[in-house]
Amino acid sequence: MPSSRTLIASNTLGSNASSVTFSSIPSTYKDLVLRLSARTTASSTINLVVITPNGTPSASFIRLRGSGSSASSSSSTGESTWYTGLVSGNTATANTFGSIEVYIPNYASVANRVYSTFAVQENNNAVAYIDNYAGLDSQTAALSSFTIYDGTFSTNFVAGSSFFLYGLKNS
Amino acid sequence: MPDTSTEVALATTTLGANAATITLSSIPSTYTDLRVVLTGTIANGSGNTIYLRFNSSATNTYSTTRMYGDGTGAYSSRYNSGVDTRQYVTEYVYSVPYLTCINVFSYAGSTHKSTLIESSFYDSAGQGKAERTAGLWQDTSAINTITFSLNGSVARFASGTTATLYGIL
Repeated sequence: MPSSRTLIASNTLGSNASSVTFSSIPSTYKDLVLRLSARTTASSTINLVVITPNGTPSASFIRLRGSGSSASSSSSTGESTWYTGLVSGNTATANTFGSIEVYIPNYASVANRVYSTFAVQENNNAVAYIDNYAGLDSQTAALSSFTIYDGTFSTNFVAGSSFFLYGLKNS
Repeated sequence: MPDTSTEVALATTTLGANAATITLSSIPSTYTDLRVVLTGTIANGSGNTIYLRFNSSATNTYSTTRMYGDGTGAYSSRYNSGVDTRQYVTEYVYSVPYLTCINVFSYAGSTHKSTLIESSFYDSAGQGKAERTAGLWQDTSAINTITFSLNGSVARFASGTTATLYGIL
């Protein structure tokens, strides 16, 4: 029986890059899964990763975060990007990358789009983060492309960062 | 493009009308783990909790530890020796889509009791929940049926709700 999960596209950076784009996403799957391993050039131990989908996003989210010593939750509305979680910045332990999985069900539909994320940021320090986002994008454009940025839109993903987009079928 | 994983869609149920339960049955025991992806909305009444049962068993054999955030605080709770596992996917916003993913390990019957990792997400203009749950079914029987239901007598899974079952080798 064939696998239901197919690698649509991937990008492992050969040099630093400010963003990564997946375009011309086929509408033939039911769900999408994005997995990335990334580190940025930001002058901090952590850096938010965001996604800008095609269309005119109108997004909100609930965030559940653990830091190793406490847990917290926050929310936001009126966002033009999808928040996904934290990865390591340039002052985190050398060669340490963060990992994020984003799950997007029914991505080809034009109804309100829910997404979820699970992100881990490691650092040889007392503080490192786990993020979980529940997001909603109320725009009605079907998802056909998106671009991944660091949350400041001013630093780069470092060489070696990798991005994998999978399509999931339900039959 | 070659297949690169061992994840196979076994069954999909898409509701054509509102329903009180969703059942995935005749699950083969030929995989190592199972995964269920449940997406949709809740219709009617005060349905704020999705219940899950294996093999229609309503004995006190389910335990869950839950951690969630609602935008203002982070919380954890424990539900021990209950008659089902519990996922809190929506409370008062009935038209908001949710996403629940459930991984079931060692489901095919062995000396290992089945363990679960569940995640549920929904958001409505900054009100909602992000939730992770670890669970245990204190039974070594092979799981051949998974049933989802809702609390509240009038709550329903809304038409269009989809449940997809994957087998993972």
